[in-house]
Amino acid sequence: MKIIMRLLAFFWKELHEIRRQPGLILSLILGPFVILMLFGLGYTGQHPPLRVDLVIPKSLENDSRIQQVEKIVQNHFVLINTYNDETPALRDLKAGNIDVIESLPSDLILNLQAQESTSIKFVYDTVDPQKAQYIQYISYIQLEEINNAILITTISGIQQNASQFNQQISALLDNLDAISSSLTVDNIQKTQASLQILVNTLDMLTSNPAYDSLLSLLEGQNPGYAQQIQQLIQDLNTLNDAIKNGTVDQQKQLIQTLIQRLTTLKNDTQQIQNISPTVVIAPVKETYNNLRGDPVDLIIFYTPGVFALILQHIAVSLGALSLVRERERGSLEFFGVAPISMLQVLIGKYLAYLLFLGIIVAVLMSMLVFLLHLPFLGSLSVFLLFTLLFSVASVGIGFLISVISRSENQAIQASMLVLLLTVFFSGFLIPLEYFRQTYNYIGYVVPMTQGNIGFIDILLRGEPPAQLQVIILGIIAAVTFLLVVIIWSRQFRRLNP
Amino acid sequence: MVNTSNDEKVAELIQATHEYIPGVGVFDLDLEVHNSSIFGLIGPSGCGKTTIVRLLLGLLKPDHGMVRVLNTESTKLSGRLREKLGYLPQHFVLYPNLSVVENLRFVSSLYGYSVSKRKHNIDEIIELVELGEARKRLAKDLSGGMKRRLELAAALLHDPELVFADEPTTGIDPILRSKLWSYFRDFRDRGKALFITTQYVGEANFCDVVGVMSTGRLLHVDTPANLYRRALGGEVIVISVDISDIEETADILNKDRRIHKIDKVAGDPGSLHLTVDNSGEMIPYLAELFSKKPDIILQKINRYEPPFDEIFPLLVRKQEAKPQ
Repeated sequence: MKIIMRLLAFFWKELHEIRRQPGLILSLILGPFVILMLFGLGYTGQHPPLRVDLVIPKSLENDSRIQQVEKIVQNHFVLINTYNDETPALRDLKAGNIDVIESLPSDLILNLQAQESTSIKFVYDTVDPQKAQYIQYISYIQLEEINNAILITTISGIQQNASQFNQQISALLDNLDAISSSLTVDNIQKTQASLQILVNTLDMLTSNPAYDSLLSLLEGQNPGYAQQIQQLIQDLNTLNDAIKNGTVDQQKQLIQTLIQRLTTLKNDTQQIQNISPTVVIAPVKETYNNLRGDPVDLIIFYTPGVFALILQHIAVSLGALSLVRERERGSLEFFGVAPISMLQVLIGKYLAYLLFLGIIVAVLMSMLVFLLHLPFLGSLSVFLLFTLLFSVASVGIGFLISVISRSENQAIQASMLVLLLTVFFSGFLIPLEYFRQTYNYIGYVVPMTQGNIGFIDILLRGEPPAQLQVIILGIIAAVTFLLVVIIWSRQFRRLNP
Repeated sequence: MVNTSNDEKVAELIQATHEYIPGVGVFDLDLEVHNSSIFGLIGPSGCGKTTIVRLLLGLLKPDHGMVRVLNTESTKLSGRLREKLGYLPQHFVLYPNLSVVENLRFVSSLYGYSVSKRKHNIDEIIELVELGEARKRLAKDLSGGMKRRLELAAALLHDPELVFADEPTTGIDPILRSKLWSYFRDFRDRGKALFITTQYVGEANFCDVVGVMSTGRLLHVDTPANLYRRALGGEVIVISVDISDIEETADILNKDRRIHKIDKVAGDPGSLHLTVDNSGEMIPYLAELFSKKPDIILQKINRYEPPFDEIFPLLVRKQEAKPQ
C-alpha cells in the first residue's frame, strides 16, 4: 500500500506541476503543431517554373519549324525573352531575371536536313545542386519532346511518300510480270528503269532516321524484316546486274521470288500508311494501378509523422528536464532522506508522464481526425499499445538526457539535438532510402524513426506496425530504462558520487 | 560525551572524517545526539555544518570513522528507519508550482500515508506552523518565512523521532525565529530529538547541547552553561557599587581566594566582574559580606551571562591557544 502511495506521490506531483505551467504545455504542443501545420499548408512539393531566355540565331528566325520549337520550350519553361545572341540573355541570367538560357545552334536545320545530330545549349548559374539537376531534367524532357516532334514530322513525311512508293512497287511488279512472260527489249528497259527508282527509294528509306523505329514496328508483325529488306535490295541489284549483262533470261527464278517479296512489301507499305506516327515513336504506353486506390493528400501523409514528432518532442523535453531539475532544486537531497527508493521515484515519474502524454494523444488525435480529417483505418487497441511503447521509449530518451546533464540548460540543448537528429535522420522529411545504408542506423536511436513508419501503417494503411518497429522501440525503451537506473542509482543518495 | 537526558542515543559521529579535496571537509568528528534534546551545531558559514548533517543523513559517506543514526550506519538506513527521520534542508527544495497543501500531500505520500490519515496530519501541521490562510497558495507566492514554515511542516509532518534542521533560522526575522525555536522546544518536550545547525551563535542558548565548529573541526561539545564556564574560566558575577567605593570594594574582594579574577567593566566604572567557580554559593555570601560594611552600598549583585556571540570567539581562541 505504501509503495502505491509513493508512486502516486510523484504521479500527482508531476501532474500538478505540468498543469500549473500552461505556457510550457502551449509551447510544447501548439508550438510544433502550428509550425508543422504552416509547413504542411505552405509546402507544395513542386518546383517553381523555370524562367528562360531563348536564343534563336537570325538565320533560323523565320523558319516555321523553329516556331514549333518555341512552343515546346514554352511547355516546360516560362519564356521571358527571345534574343538573337547570348549576350543580353547572359545579362538577364547574371541579374537573376531568368534561371536558364536555351541557345539554339545556327546549323540546327542544316544538320537535321543532313541527318546529322546537333545540340541545343542550356546555360544556368546556380550553386544549388538540386536546382541544377532540375534544370537538366526539364531540359532533357524538353529535348525528348523536340526529338519526338522531329520523328513525327519525318514519319509523316514517309507516310506521305508511301503511296508514291507503293506506285513504284506496282510499276515494277507490272514490269516483272511482263518480262517473266516476254523478254522484249522494251519490257527489259521499262523494268530496269522502275527497278532503279525502287532501289533509290529503298536506299533513302534505310538511311532515314525514322527507319529504325518503323522497322521495329514492322518486326513485331513480321520477324526478320530487316533481313528481308536487305535481301530484297540485294535481289534487285542482282536483277539489275543481270539486265545490264544481258543474262536476264537466266534469272526467271529470281524474278518470281522478287514478285513475291514486292507483293508482300506493297501490302506492308499499305499498312505503314495507316499507322499513327505517335505509335511509331512511342509504341508502349504506361498504365497505373495503385492497390490502395488514390494516394492520400500530401498533408495527410505527413500527419502521422507530425503526430509522432510532437509526441516524441514533448516526452523527451519533459523527461530531460525532470530529473536534472530535481537535482538542481535540491529535491533529490530531500528524497534521499525520505523512505523512498530510486526505482519508486523513477517509476512514479514514468507513470505521471505516460498519463500526461495519454491526455495529449487523446487531444491531438481528436484534433487531427476531426479537424484535419486524418483517416484512422487501423485498430484502436493496436494504436494505443504502439503509442504506449513509443511514449515509454521517448520518455526514456528524455530521462537519459536528464541523468547525464549537469544543468537544465544542458538538458534543453540535448533535447534540441535529439529534435535535430529526428528531423534529419528519422525519415520524416528526407526518406531513409536517400541515405547510405550505414547512416540509416543513426535514425535508429530516436523512436520517431520507427514511430513514423508504425503510425502510417496503423492510421493510413489500417495495418499493425511491422515486428521490426515494435522490436526496435522495445529495445530503445528497455536500454534507456536500464541506463537511467544505473546512472541515477549512482546519484541518488550520493551527493559526491 | 554530553548527555543531558537519561534517554537513548539516536545519532553519533565517531572519529568521522569527510574530505572533499585535501584539507577541505570535516575532520575527526565525535558527537552524540540523544532523544528529548536539542543538539545545536554552531559555527560560521562554510565551517562544515551542512556536511555533518549530510553525513548523518547518509547522503555523504565518511572517508574515515563511523556515522550511526538510530543504531544503524547512516548510509545503510532502511526505509522503515528513514520514516523516523525528518529533514529541513538549508534551501527551499519543495515545489514552487504546487500549493502549500499539495506540497504537504506530496511529502505525506512519500512517507506512504493513506489519503484519510494524510488529511488529518496535514490539517494539524498547517495549524501548528500557522499556514492555514495560505494553504491553497502556491509555494512560489509565499514569503521567505512562510516557505521556511512550509518546509518545517514537511519535516515534521510524519511525526519523526529525529529531525535534522540545517540552518532553519537563516534569513528570517527575529519574531519568526523565536516562533521556530518555540516549535523546536515543543518537539523536544514530546521526547523527540533535534539536530540543528545555525550560524547565529546566540541561538546556542536555546539548545540542550552545543557543538562549536570552526574550519571543519568540532572544537567543543557541551551544554551552554559549561561552554560559558569554559570560555570564561568559571561563572561570572557582576557587582555594582558607588564609583567612589570601587577601589575599596576591589581590595576586599581580592582577599577572597574563591574569586579567581576581578575585572573592571568597560563603560561602567562602578561595576566589577568576578570570576568564581559557583555563583550560586558566592552571591549570598558576598551580599552578606557587604551588608556588614555600612560605608559601601551594594547597588547590584547577580550572575552575569554575556551573549553567546561573545562566548564563541573566546571558545575558538582558547582552542587555538591549546598545543596541538
